[in-house]
Amino acid sequence: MQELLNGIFALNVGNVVMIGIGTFLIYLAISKEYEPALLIPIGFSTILVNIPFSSAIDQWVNGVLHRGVLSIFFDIGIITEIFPLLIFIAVGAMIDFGPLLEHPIMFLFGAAAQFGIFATMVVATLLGFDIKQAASIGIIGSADGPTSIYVAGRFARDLLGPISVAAYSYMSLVPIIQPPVIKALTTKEERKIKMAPKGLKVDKTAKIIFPILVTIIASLIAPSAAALIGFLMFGNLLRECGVLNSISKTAQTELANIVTILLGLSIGSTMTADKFLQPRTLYILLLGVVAFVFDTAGGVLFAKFLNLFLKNKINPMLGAAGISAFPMSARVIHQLGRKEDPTNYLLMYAVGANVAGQIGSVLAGGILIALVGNL
Amino acid sequence: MVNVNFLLALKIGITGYFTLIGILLLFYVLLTGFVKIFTRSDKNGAKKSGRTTSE
Repeated sequence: MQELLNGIFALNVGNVVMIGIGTFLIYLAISKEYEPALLIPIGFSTILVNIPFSSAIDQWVNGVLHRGVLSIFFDIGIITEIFPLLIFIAVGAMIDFGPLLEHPIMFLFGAAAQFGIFATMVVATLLGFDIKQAASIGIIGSADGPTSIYVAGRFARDLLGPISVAAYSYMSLVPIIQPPVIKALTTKEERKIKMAPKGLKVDKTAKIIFPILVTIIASLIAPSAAALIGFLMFGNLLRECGVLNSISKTAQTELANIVTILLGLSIGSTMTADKFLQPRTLYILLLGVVAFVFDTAGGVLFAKFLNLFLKNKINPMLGAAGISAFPMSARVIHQLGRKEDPTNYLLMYAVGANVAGQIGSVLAGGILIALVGNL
Repeated sequence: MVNVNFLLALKIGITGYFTLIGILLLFYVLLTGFVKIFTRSDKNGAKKSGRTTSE
């Protein structure tokens, strides 16, 4: 009889708080629609792993290890890096690089708006994080969940829970985070700058060659990014090749959904009270916002810098669309442009910058792995 | 005392950011040339690369 009550007697304040946090994540996902596909599995898994003696995670009983299914998911999906890479196939299959090919200059914003990654990494070291932890926190600024998980899974597994929650939550909050930063850094006149439509159509052949070329060139320059960029571009090739439509559709739907569930459950398995309820979790959540603010500022200021040399000025708000939060950021920039001038149509340029941000964030992850990995 | 991690992060941050901008600048240059070969005007359907619309 005593055995049946062990769980109840072993329940501590930390467990109760974490069960509350798990429930709160589920609430945010359902009522505010903040990345529900990820936050519901993470929230539920958080509840499950904070039940004392939960069989869902590894437990030592009388010196014998009893493996828990969520711990197994974590080992086979996160430690091996398989889950984030599979998500990249799905993401690649969802992206149309056409708007980027039509406006190649947007590529530059895909780099500039990754400023938050590197700046936040520096700030994190001032708060006492070591360099690998700081890099893992900085990568929240990639505004790209799989990249964040991939890098944090390599450098700071114990921080994976808060980093993932921050990355996915703030992506949902892009419409709240970006506009005040953009308005603070631009004048009304700058926000009204119109971008002339190019009226160009990119050939199907170009869309097929593009993912192959990007993979080869990016992997040659930054081999540490080969897996990330390769899986992203493989997914895009499935989409564009025209002979694998059903597989492309499967990647966009079933594969994305299944792996997202497993990814969310795996991340939730790390959110135990002893790891999560620490001051550093608050720092990470705070630094996540800092990263998104720096990203936005970096993109806008880079566009303003380019305008010093360009005859046909670029609307500097487009720089902020260079973050990887697709298509949220592009929509935000388009709506801001329409607010200043209802005849201003920035959407295709913003989508171009946004998909460039996908490539930029993945490359930034690879560069961080190369620079920090050997330390 | 100067935080060693801070200096290291600063060095990696500057190197990483400018490397990233350099790589995507290279992509921009290559893509601009690539696009010139593979785009056509949407107005009259004539291909910019000199190919005819019947291709």
